[in-house]
Amino acid sequence: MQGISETKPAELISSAPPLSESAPALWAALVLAFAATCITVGVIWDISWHESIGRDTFWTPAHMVIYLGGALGGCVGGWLAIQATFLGGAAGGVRVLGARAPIGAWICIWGAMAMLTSAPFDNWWHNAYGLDVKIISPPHVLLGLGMFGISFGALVQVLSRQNRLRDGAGSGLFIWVAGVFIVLGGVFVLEYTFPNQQHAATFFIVCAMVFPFRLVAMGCAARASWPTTRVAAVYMLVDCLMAWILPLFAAQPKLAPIFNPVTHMVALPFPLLVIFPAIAIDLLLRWMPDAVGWKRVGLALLIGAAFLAVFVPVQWFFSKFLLSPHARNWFFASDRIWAFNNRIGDWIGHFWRTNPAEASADLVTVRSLAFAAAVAAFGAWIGLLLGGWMRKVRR
Amino acid sequence: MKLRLALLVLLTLLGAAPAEAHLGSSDVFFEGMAGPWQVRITIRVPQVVPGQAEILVQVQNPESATVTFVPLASGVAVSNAPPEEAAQPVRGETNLFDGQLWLMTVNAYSVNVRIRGKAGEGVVQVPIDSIARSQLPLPSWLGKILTVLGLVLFCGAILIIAAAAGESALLPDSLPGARERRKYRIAAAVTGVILVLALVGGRKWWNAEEKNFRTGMIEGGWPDVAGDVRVEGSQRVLHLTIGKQDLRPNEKLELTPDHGKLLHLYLVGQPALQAFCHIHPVREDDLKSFEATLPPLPEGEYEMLCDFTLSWGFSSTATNLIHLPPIPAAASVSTNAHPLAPDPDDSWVASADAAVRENASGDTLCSLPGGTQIIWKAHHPLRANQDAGLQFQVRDGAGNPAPLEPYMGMMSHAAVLRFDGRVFAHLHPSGNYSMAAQTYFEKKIAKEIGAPGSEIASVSSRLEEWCGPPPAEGGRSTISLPYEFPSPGDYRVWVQIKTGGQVKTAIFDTTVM
Repeated sequence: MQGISETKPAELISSAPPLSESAPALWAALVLAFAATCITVGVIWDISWHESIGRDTFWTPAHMVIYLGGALGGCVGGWLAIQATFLGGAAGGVRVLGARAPIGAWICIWGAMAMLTSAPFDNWWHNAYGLDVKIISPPHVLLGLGMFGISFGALVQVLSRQNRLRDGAGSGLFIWVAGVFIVLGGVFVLEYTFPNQQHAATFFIVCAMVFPFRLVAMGCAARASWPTTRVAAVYMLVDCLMAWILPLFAAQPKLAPIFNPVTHMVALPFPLLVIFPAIAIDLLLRWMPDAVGWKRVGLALLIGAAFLAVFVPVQWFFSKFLLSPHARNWFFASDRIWAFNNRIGDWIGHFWRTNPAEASADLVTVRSLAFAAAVAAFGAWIGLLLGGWMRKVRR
Repeated sequence: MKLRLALLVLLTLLGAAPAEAHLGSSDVFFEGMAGPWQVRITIRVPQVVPGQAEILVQVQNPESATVTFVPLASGVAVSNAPPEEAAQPVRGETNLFDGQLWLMTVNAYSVNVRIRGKAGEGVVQVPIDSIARSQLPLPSWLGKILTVLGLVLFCGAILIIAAAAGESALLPDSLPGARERRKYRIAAAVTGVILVLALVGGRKWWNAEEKNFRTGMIEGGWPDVAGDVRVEGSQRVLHLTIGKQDLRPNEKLELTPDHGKLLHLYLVGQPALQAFCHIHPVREDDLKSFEATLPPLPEGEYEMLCDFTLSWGFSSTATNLIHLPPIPAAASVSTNAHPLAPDPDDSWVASADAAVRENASGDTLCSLPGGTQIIWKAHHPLRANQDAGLQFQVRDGAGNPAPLEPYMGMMSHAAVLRFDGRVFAHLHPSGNYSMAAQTYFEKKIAKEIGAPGSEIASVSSRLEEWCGPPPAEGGRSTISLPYEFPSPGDYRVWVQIKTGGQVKTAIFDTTVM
């Protein structure tokens, strides 16, 4: 078995006190946190670019920010591996093929390599099948996995630092990266979460897939009070900042047809109000902090139900507000989310796929909500397992 | 948003009419006047949609000029077009400009090219068709690189996740025990299984994407065309049906005349291209059927190459094989009270005996019945994707320049066919685009933005430019055809001109390197 020596076994150290003296370097955690933020901000900026300007090149500023995130993640991860393997730094670390590095560094290296691999693949794909006919294409999935790798690697790196510091030190940085990680998850399902889709069953099922798993894992891992709520607050803050800042910049569409001649960068929709179900998750995690086995299953079921019980009414009524004229302002940005190729009409003020008479109707029913709750519960269970591991990560 | 764009592309692929005005020869060439400017425009059309086309504009006036361009899509208001893009001067060249065009949907487009300078402002429409034409294979070197990187990622993911499970929760100075080793093994196995399943799923997904792409791709002619020949008295009448399979039953084939004809049909004898005709079938009441009286071509197999332009500016070539029966005896009795009269602009060559092998280093002369000579002027050796410099001179039997007359509104029509049938183009002195499509876009612009007459000249007003003013010396006798052969191979070129009231067809064979 690679990388595992046969010398004296160690006890699991989940209950061991954190050790400030051997904590990973702050600079690496900060740079990786910055890299994860770059990737998330770059992806949002890139989507806005496509909706505002349309024309895409390798060298757009949004792409540059994503590359910067990838490069920083790969370089810092690589340096930490060199340091741990050859220079005796970064005490601990895990072994891969004889080399040693913190686990977060390895994940970042993997993410950077996946992003690098996706570049020639994506270039060929464009020439073979057309320029970005779809967001979800095999090379884009590889790129997305790479970006996910950098973000998750950064998350684990700041996490291992938090877990080795005393008195909750380092938890602020973890909360930030965790929030950014949630944003990235939300961005990948943007096509299902426009305000106009928030009365459709698919919206709630998609949210049940994305948010409980991540929120619960982060909530378990953070060493702060109300951790899930804080992480959700960061998610909302980042999304809000992007929605407020992007429209400040002038932009002109450069691809035909232009049905909506935007003059400024298009915003992404106002963030989902996941902070409310996050409060419920925090309360449940506080109530059953160390659930294992069947208790963990029960907790996951409770979290799934609670997530839906809070999220559905909150978002249901909030989305009504978002479609109203009262939300057409800089704060809620409901009038700034339409791309240059959207033919603006009455449809922007209506909920989509909610007419039972239409074949494409996607109605919220007891059955669809029950399915969403089951999905949320499964996600919460996975999140509890992942969070349990994350709480112990020290290398 | 990208998803909507993708849906639009998909819907267009399913519902509209993807096609290619020529076969295996997608680049578009224009030569002529844009206001006061003499220009030659080359548009290298992408093979996929969405894709980037390249535009090259050579302004032939000596004065300095600036060039802007914008693609206009059929069915989309001109006011919805993006802003004009400035073409960039090519370093080291005089008045040569280049730029990139983004063609986002399967559609008929026109590239609106505008030239400005001290001499004034001129604009010209160059129609192009945006469709998926071919699927680029994965180069073996790239396949090897991706395979190696993929293996590294695959193994790396297993090792990293296994290490995370086995060691990451240990204190820095601790060593893994049996429990950690077990976790390591389990994590590696589970990750391996998940990744293998993901790869299998990814492969299926890729295959589905490939299949979907190929469904919308048009490599050859479009739509389907079927023909049969019946004998009526001393005539052989060709009956064509277009789009029986590729068009929905209630879908109309709405055509717009190009050079005054709805259909330009070439019949080329197989396998040696031994006979040739250029005829113009007449539309029947069902709008998808056409009929024409066949010229006296010998019995045999023929390839049909059927050029037309749809009413929304999309041009296409439909192809199929057809067998022509023997020429009926003149004494046969017609059963049709109203026999179909041949089109006066029909032309044909029943034999390729007069075909001449061209010689790049000198003039190549093709002598035609009646004494007319068509000379392919000396030129550089022909190379794929380079200006062929096709220039021809017409002389009478005495060797004097013969004045040319308009033949269907042009000084010349030429057909280019590679001997294997995979490349076909229909050329004119103004270029190889559909003039009907050009007219469609000019009218669309004039209707939508009321372009002043001085800015966009009508097709009829440019007739003189294309045919040339009759010089005092007795009329124009030379023609040039802007074209680049798209690929190496052996080609046959039929050059058709009209002089002395008769259409003449010269046949040249050439090899492109």
